[in-house]
Amino acid sequence: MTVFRGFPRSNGRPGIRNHLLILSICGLNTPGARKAAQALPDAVLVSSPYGRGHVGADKHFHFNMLKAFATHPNVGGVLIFAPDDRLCDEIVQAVYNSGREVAGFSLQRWGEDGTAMSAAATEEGRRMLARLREVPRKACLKSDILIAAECGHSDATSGMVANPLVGDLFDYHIIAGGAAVFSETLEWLGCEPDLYKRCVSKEVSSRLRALVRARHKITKSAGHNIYIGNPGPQNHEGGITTLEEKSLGAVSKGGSQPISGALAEGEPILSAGLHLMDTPTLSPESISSMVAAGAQIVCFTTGHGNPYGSVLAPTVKLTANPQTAKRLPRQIDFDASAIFCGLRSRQSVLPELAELVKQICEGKQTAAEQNKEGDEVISRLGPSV
Amino acid sequence: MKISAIIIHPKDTVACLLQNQHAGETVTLETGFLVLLKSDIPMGHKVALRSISKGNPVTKYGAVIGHASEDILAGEHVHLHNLQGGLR
Repeated sequence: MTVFRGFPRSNGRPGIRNHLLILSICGLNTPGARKAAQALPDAVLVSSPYGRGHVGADKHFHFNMLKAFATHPNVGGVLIFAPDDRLCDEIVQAVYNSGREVAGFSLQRWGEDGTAMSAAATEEGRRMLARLREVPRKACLKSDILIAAECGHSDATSGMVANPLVGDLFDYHIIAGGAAVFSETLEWLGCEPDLYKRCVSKEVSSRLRALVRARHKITKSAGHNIYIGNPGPQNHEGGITTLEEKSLGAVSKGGSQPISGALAEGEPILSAGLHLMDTPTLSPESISSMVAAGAQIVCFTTGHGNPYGSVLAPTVKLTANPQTAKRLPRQIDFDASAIFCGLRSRQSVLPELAELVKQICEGKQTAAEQNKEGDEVISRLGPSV
Repeated sequence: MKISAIIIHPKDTVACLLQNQHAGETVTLETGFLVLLKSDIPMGHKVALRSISKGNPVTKYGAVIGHASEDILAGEHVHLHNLQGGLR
């Protein structure tokens, strides 16, 4: 099967959802945006707690991330909450150009009356939601899906089963012409040379090298030595001996295909194949950066459990830990513990995971969607002034 | 057949135990291959699938995870006492 039922977009990858996004682009707007989101439970809220006093690269990054969320494949319409007309119009224009529904609300235009503005936005949101609900799904190419992988609160089962299983899914998807991405630069410690060797060209490997070097420089200049005590006593107890081994366990969620792209945080991914993105290690920042790149779906492996998901890209929670699967049935979407219990092979489980991913792409809700435990978080690249 | 250890990549020279096992027991692999354990090995830890001489690479995930700091016999626990990573 090479097609799935999704939402074609005029400007790029198809959506697997047709969300109404309430986007608060500045901390000043977030309380009002939150009220609108409470009144519109079918909409999704993304808000920045910042938005003033960003400078340099941090300023551009913040704004580009907001624009990327507003034009994400899974978004069908946007309500913009902005502090002033200039910022509001800039995002409205970007969303309008992407062929989506958009309505902009700025405090400046509303004479700083946030209460009235929130009420008006809620009314507009109701009308938009009604229209977005009517949009039918159509046949879209599965190869236009960009899958992101993340791991969080890992244990021995993650490196042994859950991550390699997601790696198998990546291989399967990429061989069929699809795109995939994984991130968290500091989790590649010690296996970077292998990653450089897997790059499809010298340009890609040089870019990857430069991104890794820059991330390490940040760590070093803050006085951290990430090699000391790594792997830690808990890792040793779980059976991990060396740092290379620990990193290979994390990297295994990326599968074994050649690396065709090395990207800075949040940079759009326009081509097929496997991509690596330089990001911080905190899951919310890492996932949001890959979602901003265009990922429509996230595979998130966990050992002990982890409630977090992307609010824009349905986040499939997988565990191979039988206790976790049993303890958190309303959090875990895919239970791979039969592999860890020695009852099934990874190879025999892969088609079931691929089928679940397809169902989720066609509208089946993930646990994190049902639990409304999604968010997007924009990294800071520097201090505010 | 219930297996008791996983080989993550076909090139690997170690397997990971899916349960705690004791010296003298056999480890059952997906390939049907059996390994007689020479030491007690906890769940998640590694067993050598074949003998690895001191100084030689140890392979997991199809990649080198370090080198043997002692001679390792097939069926032995591979961990901090006989495996050394290359990073400090």
